[in-house]
Amino acid sequence: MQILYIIFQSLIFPGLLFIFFTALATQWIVRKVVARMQNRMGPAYTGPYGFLQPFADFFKLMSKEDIDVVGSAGSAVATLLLLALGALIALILMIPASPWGLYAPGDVIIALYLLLWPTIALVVAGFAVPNAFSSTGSSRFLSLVFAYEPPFIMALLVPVILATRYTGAEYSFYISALNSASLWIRPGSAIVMALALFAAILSLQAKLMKKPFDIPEAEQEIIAGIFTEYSGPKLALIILLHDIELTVLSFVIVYLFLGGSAPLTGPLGVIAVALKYFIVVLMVSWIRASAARLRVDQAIAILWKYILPVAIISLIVSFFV
Amino acid sequence: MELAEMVLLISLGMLLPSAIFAVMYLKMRRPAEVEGDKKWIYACGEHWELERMAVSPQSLFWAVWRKVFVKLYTALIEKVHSGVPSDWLIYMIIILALAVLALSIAVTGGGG
Repeated sequence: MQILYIIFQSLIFPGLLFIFFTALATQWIVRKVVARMQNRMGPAYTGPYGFLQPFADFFKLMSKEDIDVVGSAGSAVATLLLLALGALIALILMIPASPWGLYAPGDVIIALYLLLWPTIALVVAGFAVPNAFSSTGSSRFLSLVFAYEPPFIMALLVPVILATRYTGAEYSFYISALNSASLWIRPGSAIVMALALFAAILSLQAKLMKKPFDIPEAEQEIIAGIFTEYSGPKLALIILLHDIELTVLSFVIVYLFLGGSAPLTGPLGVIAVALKYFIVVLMVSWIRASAARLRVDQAIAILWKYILPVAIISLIVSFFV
Repeated sequence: MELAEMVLLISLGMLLPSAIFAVMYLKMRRPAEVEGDKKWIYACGEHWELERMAVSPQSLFWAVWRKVFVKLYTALIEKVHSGVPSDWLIYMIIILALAVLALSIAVTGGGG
């Protein structure tokens, strides 16, 4: 029976079908918000207010010719991208968006493992083609990985540690997310949670390669960086991976830091989750639309000088408050 | 639920959507029919041979990495270079994986 639940969850809700539509709808929201902030219209013609534009883009790209340039490892890249998409969908099963809890003591290690898949897939995608722009983009992204991944992981561990100390969550991702609202009640843990949330949001920006951390795909300098040689179905998978990463990680932040559906319950709780999700996506879009691109050394310096110390302090303090 | 059981269920939850996406990818795409320039590497309109496309390790590292890891890589490349232009990536992934593993084990006390 449990297997059937897993199959339903991974394929329908909150898995593939739900995430696919939410991710493309989120892409529409981001494009609209960024366009309005830059005094443009954004998607406008396909569907009401251009809502169906991301869907049209995806299916158009998927039906194009699948061209692999000479010397590239196209099949390996496609396989990695597909597995990374699966990993993100598996991660959504570990937070309370899933109707049936999937958890075990210490399962945070599985969540951290799943979080690495998209990063590895994108880095390998850049190195799998013998193009100087792609290799340069990948090396920049990998340099950023070492700067943003530690604070991001530390920030995610803070609510898990606090929940384990206060509610006996036993380092379970799901149980921690279920109890995250209660962590904001105590003044000590609330301050630590706020610091960790700050570190998580800014590291997320780098993880998603959004401005000001979009130097791996700086189009005026290295064409499209990692994605220079990709077109058609593989480009569709890469864009979908980006969108699903934004969606899933925003949900992770909503549940792990912002209390999920709290303070509401039942159908109203869904509205609370949707509202919090929209706020997180809005913040990411707002930073993206208003910030200028940083050089890779500047990006690493900011992440190490400001974000990493905040994450380290919040992680250490979370053991004592 | 035990951690091992959860690993199996999550693996199922990961592979099923991947399989669906794989079917979508294989069924919807059109096999490549183009030849010539479209299959050649993009080099701003110039025609470069494959050997010239590779970026040297010295150019692949930025900021602090340039000083720290290029030295290590230059030492390693002499001994273990596999012929793959990006084999240093493997070392980076291994280091990152070990760092995440060490951090996770430190926090969960060995899987809990």
